[in-house]
Parts: sequence; C-alpha cells; structure tokens
Amino acid sequence: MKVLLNLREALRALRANKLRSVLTTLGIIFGVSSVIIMVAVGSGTQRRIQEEIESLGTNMLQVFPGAARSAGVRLGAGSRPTLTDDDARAIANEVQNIVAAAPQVRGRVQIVAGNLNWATNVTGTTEAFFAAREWAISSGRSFEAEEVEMGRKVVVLGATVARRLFPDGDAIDRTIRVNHLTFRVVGLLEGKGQTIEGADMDDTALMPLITARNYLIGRALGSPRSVASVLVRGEENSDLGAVAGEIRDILRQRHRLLPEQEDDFQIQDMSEVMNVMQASSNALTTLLAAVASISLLVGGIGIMNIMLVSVTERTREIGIRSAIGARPGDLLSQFLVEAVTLSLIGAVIGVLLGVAGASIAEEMFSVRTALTIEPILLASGFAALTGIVFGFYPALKASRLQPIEALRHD
Amino acid sequence: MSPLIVTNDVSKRYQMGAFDVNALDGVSISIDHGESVAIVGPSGSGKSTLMNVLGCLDLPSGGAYLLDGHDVGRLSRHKLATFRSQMIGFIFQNFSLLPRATAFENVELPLIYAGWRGRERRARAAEMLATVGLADRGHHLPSQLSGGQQQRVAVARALAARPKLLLADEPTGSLDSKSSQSILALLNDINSRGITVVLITHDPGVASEMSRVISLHDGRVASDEVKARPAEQCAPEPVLP
Ligand SMILES: Nc1ncnc2c1ncn2[C@@H]1O[C@H](COP(=O)(O)OP(=O)(O)OP(=O)(O)O)[C@@H](O)[C@H]1O
Ligand SMILES: [Mg+2]
Repeated sequence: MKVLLNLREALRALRANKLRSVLTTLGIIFGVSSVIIMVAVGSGTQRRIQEEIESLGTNMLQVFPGAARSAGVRLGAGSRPTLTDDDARAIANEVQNIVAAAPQVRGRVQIVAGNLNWATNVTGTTEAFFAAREWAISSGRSFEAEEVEMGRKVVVLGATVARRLFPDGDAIDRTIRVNHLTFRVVGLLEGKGQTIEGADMDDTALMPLITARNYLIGRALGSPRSVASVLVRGEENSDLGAVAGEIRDILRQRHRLLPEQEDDFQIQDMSEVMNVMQASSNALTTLLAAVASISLLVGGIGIMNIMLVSVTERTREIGIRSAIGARPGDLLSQFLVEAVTLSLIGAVIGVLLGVAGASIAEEMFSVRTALTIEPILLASGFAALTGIVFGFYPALKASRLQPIEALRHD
Repeated sequence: MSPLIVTNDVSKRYQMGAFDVNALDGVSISIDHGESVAIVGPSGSGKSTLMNVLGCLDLPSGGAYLLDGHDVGRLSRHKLATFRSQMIGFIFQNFSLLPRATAFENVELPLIYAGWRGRERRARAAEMLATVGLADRGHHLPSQLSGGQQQRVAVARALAARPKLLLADEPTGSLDSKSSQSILALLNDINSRGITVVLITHDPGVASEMSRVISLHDGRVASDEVKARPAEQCAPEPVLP
C-alpha cells in the first residue's frame, strides 16, 4: 500500500527530470544487457559443446599416429605414419567391450554432379564407421563388406553435400565425378549440424578406405597402409580407461616397442576433450559476466550520485513533508523506493536490450546464443539490489534531516 | 482538562560566532483547547521560533514544552513526527505546497502519513477541498492556482488529518485583502469547531479577530491579552467533519 504510494511519488520525481533519470540508468541498462548477452553467448557455446558431446557419444576414443622423435626433437602427432588399417583391424578383433573400430584417411576433393560442383572433405573408412561414429543413414544404405574389401567406387554423402549437388533431393544411385572418375552414391548421412567451431559436420563424403587411397588421396611413401586415425567406440557404460589400456598394449606389441620406448601413437578420450572445452567455456562465461557486472556496480554509483543531488535539491520538500507528519522511516522508504525504481527501470530496459542484443548477435555474427531466465532474473535482481545498496545512503541522509533546517532551506 | 499547550520558561539560543542570540528568552505561556491566539511582535522578536517549537519542528534549548500533557523534549524523532501527524496542522506564509503534486494530492499527503487508507483517504481529501471551496480544482497543480487558492489548499491540507492544533505563520502575509478575508473566515470557522488556532501576524486587523493576543519582544512575552470571548463557548474536542 505505502509502497504503491511511494512508487507514485518516485515516478513523479523521476518524470520531473526525465533526461537525468535516463542518463542515470544508463549504467544499469548497459550492465544488465551485457550480463544477459554475455551469459546468452556463453551458454549458447556450452549448449553446442553439449550437443557435440552427445553427437560424438560419451564413450568414444580416437587413436592418432604418435609424435615421433627425430634426433631428440619432438615432431607433431602424426609426423610418422605409424598407424595402419591392420592396427585398426587388430583393435576391432582383440579389444574387449568395444562396439566398433574404424580407420580413417582424409582428403579434400572437388565433387562434380551434372553441372553442379562442390568442394568437401572426403573420409575413407570402413563400414564400421557408422557404428563407431553413431551416425545413421537417412536414405539408401551404408557400404557393404565387399565394397570395402575391393575398393569399389561408391560414396555416402553428408546432408550438406547432397543438398548442394542434388538440390532436387534424389541422390541415391546417381553418380558423381571426382578427378574424372565416376562414383556411385549409395546412401546419405543423417544431418548432424555444426561443431563448436562452427564447422558444418554434414559437409562431408564417405567412401571405402581403399577406394580413397587408390583414387584420391594416395599412399604415404614407405607406409602405404597408414591411416590418419582410428575411431573406437566402447560399449555403453564400459570402462574407457580399460579399453584405452588394452588398445595401448596391442599397439605397443604390434609396433614392437621396447619397454623404454615411448608410445608412437596417442589415444584421446573425446568426451574428456569436450569436458575440458566445456570447463574453459564455463570459466569464460563467468569471467565475462563478472566484467559485465562491474558496469552494474558503476551504474549503482551513478544512482547514488543522482540521489544525493536529488535529496539536496528537495531539502525544502523534505522539510514540508516533515512538517505535515512524515516520519524518518517514511522519508527513508520514499527515497529508497525512488532509487530502486530508477534501477528497476534500468533493469527492464536492460533486459529488453539484452534479449534484442543476443538475437542480433545470433543473426549478424552467427554466434549461437541460449537465453535462459536465470541470468535475466539474476541481473535484474542484482540491479534492484544495487538500487537498494546505493540508494540507502542518500535516503538515510534525507530521513536524518532536521525538519526545521530542511524548511529553512531554499 | 489540562491546557493543550504549556511552555515553562522556554528558551532558544542560537550560537552566532562569538556571541549567542536568544531568539526565545524564558517564554512561559499556557493555551487552552479551543482558544484562538494571535502572536504579534516586531520582526526578529522570536515569533517564528516560538511557532516552530510549538509545532515540534524544533526543540527548545532550555525549559520544558508540554503538548497535550506530553513532554516534547523527551520524544524521539519518530514520536515527534507521529505527534505532528496526529496533533498539528501547519500553514506557512509562502503556501509550501509540493509543486509537482496536484491540489488533491497535497491534501492527501498528511492523510497518507497519518495512515489513512484508500477510499477513506480520498474521500477525506475531497471533502477538505470542498470545505475550502476548491472541489473543482483537485487536479490542478499549485502553479495553476492563484495565491489565495493555494493558501486555501494549504488550509485544507493542514486540517485534513483532524489536528487539535492549527499553527499558521503569517497565513495572510502574501495575500491581498480579499483573499486574506476568506482565509481568516476559514480560520475562524475552524476555531468555532473547537480546533485551537495559533497564528502569527503583523496585521492588527487579523490579530483583532483572535480571542487572545500574545505580544513578543526580544524573545520575551511583552503582553498577553485575553478578549471577552468566554472559553466555555468552545467545544473541547474537534468536531470538524
Ligand atoms: N537558524 C538561526 N540561526 C541563528 N539565528 C536565528 C536562526 N533563526 C532565527 N534566528 C534569530 O532569532 C531571532 C528570532 O527570529 P524569528 O525568525 O523567530 O523572528 P520573527 O519574529 O519570526 O521575525 P519576522 O517577523 O521577521 O518573521 C532573530 O534575531 C533571528 O536572527
Ligand atoms: Mg517569522
């Protein structure tokens, strides 16, 4: 009841100095809106990481050729072609508790279909890929064992490639040409969307490993059967650490490494990589939000400043109010409500700007954002708190004025 | 019934650099319920100072002031404000309306502080505006009213919360004679309904309308004349609507 009346007084006082009120709330406006935008962008990124983790599956390992030493100088991973499709086969056959293990080679190709053409990444792999990557076929079929064995010229296209080359939608059993060779499209992959970095996962094409090697990518000199990596999917709820240990034993044995020699391969737990990314993105979001909330603090100081001015300006008004019965508590709540009203108006404008800003960021810079209610409530609540904290001192000052001194003021 | 106002050797000293100014210097007066009192005296004689003390806006630096039996010097700021809210109505020379609030809202304000609620409060404010003949000016801002009208709003505001004591510091000081007459008539009417009226004035005509004239000089009571009007005529409690 009293609050409503105080609100009426507050709005009246603020309306009397419209421009000043708006300028005062700018700090709060920017503070609230930047907190909202920062958190929206941050949690958008996190959601994308989450989705990528889900799309990869949580129980996936990837084996890369190891960093080799050359005269004591460490070269990067894959600097020596030490991983072969025989290794992949050995892993698939011997390691317990895995669903699939698929070798991969990669290359970049220009695909032509009719008068359309499209540059994309091609992955040479085996029929195990679809299970290892948990990537389903949306139409057509995956490779048959015989096609993989014999290196037949068949391809499975990612959704983006299919859309680019066959806009009419019907791609199955049509042909594409790469390097003047003809390949038959046997299947299409389900759409997967983007990676965290914004790369289109559907912009890809798959063909049998041998096919890719024979016709497109070529063989590494001295190691014709080398692969870029081996994808391994563990069984649901299997102990990935144990699986990695088994892979390590098998590969060390196959590569005839002596006990004192380092691994010439690397085993990566994909979900761990993602978790690290998630954690760092979390930290970044928190940092951004913290920086943004500093501007809320600055906004609060602005409110305190203007409220002090307002109390001084209205000393006589305070005196009149005292004379007609305002208690110190009435004056305190009047000016406190005014400060909080100021900050809440800022918060409302800030929320609107923040929500708009987040969607503009999504549209213009193709940043993934996720708007949730928590940062909006949090930022508004913090703004209101700012109003209370920074409005308290000026309000206290108003309530402490001696009525007679205030009345004499002009 | 005990007097409404009793001052016992009240003094008010202001420190002005090296020497003190005795704005009030041992004032002892007693004012009964229902009296109408004019306080007169030359400029600087302490009239406003006395009024501020009587109105609990200022505390005496010496002596005791009892309002309705309560020792004002012992009350907290909160209690003093509550006292002002329940007991006292103020009218100032320069109207002292809140410039951004309408006439109606100005009259409503003391009711808000006195804790009147919603419909009751609005009805009372409207009634008070009607009493001073401004029922149709409720939504006007003070700047849209004449001086006399503003002072009538001030009277309505002062009386809204049913005070026992109306204090007026030169209420007609900045009005023409016609407006002065209407304000004076209002004050007399208020007094006839039992509310104690104490006003400061320089105008002998205004002073002569009151039942008692206290004259101050250099912070002391120089004379105190009660006129013929018998006190029994006045009702002890306010019966104003
Ligand atoms: N806040 C103050 N500080 C110092 N001296 C003051 C203060 N207020 C009043 N005085 C002094 O007290 C004396 C009485 O002042 P007061 O205002 O009561 O006079 P007054 O009778 O109302 O005069 P006027 O008719 O001109 O309004 C004056 O000498 C004045 O200078
Ligand atoms: Mg005076």
